[in-house]
Amino acid sequence: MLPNLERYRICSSEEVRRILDYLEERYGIPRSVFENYTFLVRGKNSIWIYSGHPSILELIPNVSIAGIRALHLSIKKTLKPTTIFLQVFGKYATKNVVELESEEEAVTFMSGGSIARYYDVEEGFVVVKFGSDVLGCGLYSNGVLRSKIPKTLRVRFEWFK
Amino acid sequence: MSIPQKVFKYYERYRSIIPDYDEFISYILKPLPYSIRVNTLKITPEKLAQRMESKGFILRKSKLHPWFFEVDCIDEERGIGATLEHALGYYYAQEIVSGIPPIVLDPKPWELILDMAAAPGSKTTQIAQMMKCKGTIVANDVSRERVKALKSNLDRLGVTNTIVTICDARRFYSDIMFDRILLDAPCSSEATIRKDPSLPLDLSYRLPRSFSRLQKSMIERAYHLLKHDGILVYSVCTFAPEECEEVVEYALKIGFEIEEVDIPLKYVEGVTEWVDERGRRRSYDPDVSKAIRIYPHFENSGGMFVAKLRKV
Repeated sequence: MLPNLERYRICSSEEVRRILDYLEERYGIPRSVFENYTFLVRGKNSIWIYSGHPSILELIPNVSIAGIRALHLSIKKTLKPTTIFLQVFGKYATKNVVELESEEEAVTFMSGGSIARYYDVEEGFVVVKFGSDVLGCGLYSNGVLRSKIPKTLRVRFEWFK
Repeated sequence: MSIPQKVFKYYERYRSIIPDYDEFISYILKPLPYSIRVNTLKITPEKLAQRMESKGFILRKSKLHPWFFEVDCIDEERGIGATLEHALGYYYAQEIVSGIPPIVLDPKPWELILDMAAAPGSKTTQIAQMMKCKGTIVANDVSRERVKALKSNLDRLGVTNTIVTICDARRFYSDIMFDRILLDAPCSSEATIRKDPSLPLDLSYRLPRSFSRLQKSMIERAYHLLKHDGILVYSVCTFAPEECEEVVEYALKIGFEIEEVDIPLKYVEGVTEWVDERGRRRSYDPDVSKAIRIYPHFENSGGMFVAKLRKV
């Protein structure tokens, strides 16, 4: 998906269609959620989401950052949603959502740890929730849920003692 | 000279302009209470308050705005950022007075806003919240290092309508004009001493004078970037009239008009006359009295100067 992405630019309508297909098929997030958003490509493998006026991007020189990083294309060419994207849009997900069962599990996950347990989801990247909170992105494979919470957003165990 | 003595000596030049000066001095040596702004892009103030209180924090609504709370921490060392709610971007640890400039700016959804000196982003994220992430904010800062903090706050709070640029605001260039601009200018930061007791205080007062020149060139640049009839909010966290009223007087000379500001906290109007530490009498355009000054002893907060200007 999305080959030859070499510079920062607005996604083509074909690319947007594939991003929306992926979010709908894998997570059940309806396309309508993204009606007022622009998807951008930066570098070879990251997709950003931006809710400002698209035309402004061309009128401001030297844009360093626009919106937030939404998806990342992994080496295996699979898409990974970022935690910050899921913390905003994960509430609309209906598929491949893991619900943690205790505050202890939530703290383990938010501090970067893994949880060994069977979940009824497909293998790969999943939305991880605890109660009404969307915590972020996890990787589920072989019965283990691995935290993909970036270091900057992690919480520390001792905070909860 | 001991630290309190140096502090007393430094602020002495403001004795004639600060009401209840002795009370002021007693407050600037006290630590600043914790406060937060609820990120309504992610949670309601009621829900957040309930969650924090169930963890043992004590929250008091701020008079400024329903998004702001003063907070008593369970554990002073752990402070206010060590919670799951903070990691999830449900709130921003922000000084109450730092919430004033965006409220005066009053941005509306779908507008185009420039935040000229944005990092680390407390005001940028507050503006995004006021716009419900609709419309565009261009958040600029000169420092690549500080922009990292800005980016991480935009990420954590889930702000999607912001473009970040890194350049000297005096040379900021754009092919489009802005509806509103916030210039929360770099300053001598004299009014942040409660937050940062190690603040260097130079008794030659060179800092306020050199910042004043920088602030004037930034305000001049803002004039050229603003649409006709557009609003510029100028704010600084200092008491020095060189960086406050003198800069606003300069803004009036280059084509801005000043408007009245009203906020639900105690404040006094801008200074039109004072005598500096060398005994020189300074007077400013009487219109600068429409700007506001907030002192730490008024509401047990930090200090702030804010002016609302319109390009005419």
